[in-house]
Amino acid sequence: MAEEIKIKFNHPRDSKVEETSCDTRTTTGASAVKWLIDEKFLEKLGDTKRAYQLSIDRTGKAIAPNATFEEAGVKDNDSISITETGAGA
Amino acid sequence: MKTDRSTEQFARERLAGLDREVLNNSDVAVGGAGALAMNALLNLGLSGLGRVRVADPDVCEMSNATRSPLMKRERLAGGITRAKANEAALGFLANAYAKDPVVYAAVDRVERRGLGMFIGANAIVSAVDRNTVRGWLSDAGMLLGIPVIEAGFYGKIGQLTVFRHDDPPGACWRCLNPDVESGSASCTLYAHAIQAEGRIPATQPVAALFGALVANAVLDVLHGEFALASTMVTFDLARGTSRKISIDRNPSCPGPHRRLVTPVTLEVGAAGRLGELFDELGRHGARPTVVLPSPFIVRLPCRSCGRAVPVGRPALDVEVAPACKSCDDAPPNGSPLAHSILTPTSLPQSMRISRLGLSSGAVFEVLFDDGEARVFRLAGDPLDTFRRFARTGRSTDDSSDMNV
Repeated sequence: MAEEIKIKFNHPRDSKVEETSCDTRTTTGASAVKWLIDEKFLEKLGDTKRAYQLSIDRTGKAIAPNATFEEAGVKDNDSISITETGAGA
Repeated sequence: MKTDRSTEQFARERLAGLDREVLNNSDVAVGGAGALAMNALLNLGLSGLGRVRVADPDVCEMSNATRSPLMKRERLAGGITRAKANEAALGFLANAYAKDPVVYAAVDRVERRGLGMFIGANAIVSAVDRNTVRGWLSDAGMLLGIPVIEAGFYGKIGQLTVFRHDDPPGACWRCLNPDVESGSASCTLYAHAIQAEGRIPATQPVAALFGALVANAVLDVLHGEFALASTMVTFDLARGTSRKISIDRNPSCPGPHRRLVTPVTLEVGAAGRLGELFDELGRHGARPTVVLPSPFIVRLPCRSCGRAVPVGRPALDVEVAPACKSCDDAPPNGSPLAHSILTPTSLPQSMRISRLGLSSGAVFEVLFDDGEARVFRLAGDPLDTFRRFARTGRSTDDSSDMNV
């Protein structure tokens, strides 16, 4: 049975917010990022030296790419921040 | 009245909680000797760290110099090729305030050095720019129970992450990066991954900032402080923002969330032959099967015609898909053949153990007929294959050849 909740995504570089609803049992960190890129909310990263990291503002916890929102502890009306990370050294 | 200069020298650091004895006796393994590693090592040397082991296969380029404070401009002039690992070692010693600092440097990919390189290290710094190698360093720290301090940057963004790898094991780097290929997967994919990774925008101020953050985290870890364990701290210097993200263990993490048992040291070394290895393993249990750290690639399809091309190397040494010399001469069967595990009949008994990518002191697991998995270590010290740089007083042991 689907668990539909409302969530907000905060853009990594500006104050833009994307509000949406999703099924916490099928939405994963990776599928959320893909959806945000498809929706043009996020820029598609052209190489493997950058990545987007999601975290829940309420708990400060990271959402792994392969974790469902339910497993990550995302709740109704949660705000999810998107942070860019780099792999350069 | 005389003043103890060494005590005076560290007066401020002592007030900040640093213990000089701890630092003198600590040993930090660093994967990579690029801008991040050099900036971290500069800070660690000045802070009094005593021992370092570093591996990087690259040579210094002028495009690196402006972000690499341990490279000396005069040593880069004149067209002499300098290895980053060796320059990092010399630069660390030049800035080191430990009593008798020592650096072991290998001009080689850190993952080719195997787990043995980390035995005895108190912390691992992951300062490499390939995600596959970040994953490997994470696995090494997890299997050996050594904390890993990881950082990376891109332009003006970056992050520092600390993984404690205590017992029972908590989060690791792969928990947040489960899709990054382990070096032990398809070598063709591995080659493609390398080719896809290009140069990144980088400046010295950014490298210096993240290098300092790494060094500070290492100093904390060496003093038993883990306030940042399982935490990623991100910075966006263009916007002046920072975020602290806590990382839970990912139940679907592909990383090895377990600890290797203490290895049994074998009499046979890397120069020995497979027959000798299996003879000796057979004295520890029935029907030993060696789990290779990197699969041994027997053959791969030719990249042009798809026919089989003999390879005979560990996957870590295969960076591009091979091509046959003459497509007409190649056998028609082009399916890849690789061994991830070895039984006595997998490969010729006369083959040298070193051809598997196992060097002196290499650590690997062996499965026995009774289902028991045990850990073994080849004879020899892995650091014997590193170049040793040391300084006592104001001189260096390596002064006979400073033009490394």
